[in-house]
Amino acid sequence: MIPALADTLASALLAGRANDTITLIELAFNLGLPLVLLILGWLIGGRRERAHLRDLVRREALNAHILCTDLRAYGPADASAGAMIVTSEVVIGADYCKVFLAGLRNLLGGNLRAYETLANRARREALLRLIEQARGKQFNALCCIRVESSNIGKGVMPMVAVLASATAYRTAAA
Amino acid sequence: MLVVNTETVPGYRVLAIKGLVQGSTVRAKHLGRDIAAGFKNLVGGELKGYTELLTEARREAMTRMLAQAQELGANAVLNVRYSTSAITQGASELFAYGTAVTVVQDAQT
Repeated sequence: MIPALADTLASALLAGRANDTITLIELAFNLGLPLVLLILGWLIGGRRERAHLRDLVRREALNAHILCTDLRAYGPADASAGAMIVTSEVVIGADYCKVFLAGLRNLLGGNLRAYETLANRARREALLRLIEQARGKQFNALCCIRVESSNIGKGVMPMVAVLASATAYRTAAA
Repeated sequence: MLVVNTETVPGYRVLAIKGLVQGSTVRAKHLGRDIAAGFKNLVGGELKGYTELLTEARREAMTRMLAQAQELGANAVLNVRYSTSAITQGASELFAYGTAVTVVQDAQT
């Protein structure tokens, strides 16, 4: 996108008056399309992200009583209920606006805040899916939670893929 | 088959360790999914096609691992771990492994 832009600008400066309209159209296209995508990403992406965050907060409140640890040992367990592995996967993509902001930030270095929230959302979602799966099978505790970032093809599309697993069991009635 | 992430199971006792079992798979989505994900990447949000890809891959790897455990005559797999790697764009390898064992339920705990 940036080399194309530079190209157009350079030719706009060099080409005299004859090509004015053509270069103007070219310029509008090269500049306009990313701009539209940027605004689209900002508006829609932003709204979707806020909606997801609200949803996460709501579901986290619902599941706050579930005992979650990443210890390899069980808490006080109800042996008659057994135990079972649960796993979840989440892949969340960035929007165009985030990609653009991260690109700018990359020039200066520092925290890529736009991507931090993305990674954060994916992890929270993955954990919630573990809990919801466990609850669906009448378990009420999770131990040995393992969360790892996966990778679906490198490069082109910025996305966060998270794979989580844990063992679900039932805590002994206190 | 009892499958857990931990080294023990409450209420069960390990009788014999049968050995390491593993299953792996490399999966890709069809092009349509990749294109859909490309568009989705403009506005953000979950890329459901890729989530599905991982779910299917994980199930497949798990099935293969369990088949191995069955062959060894195990009735449980302990300490299951997953690991992934990206082989090419849009494809992912998923690898599951664990220790196959035979367990018995304790008479009284």
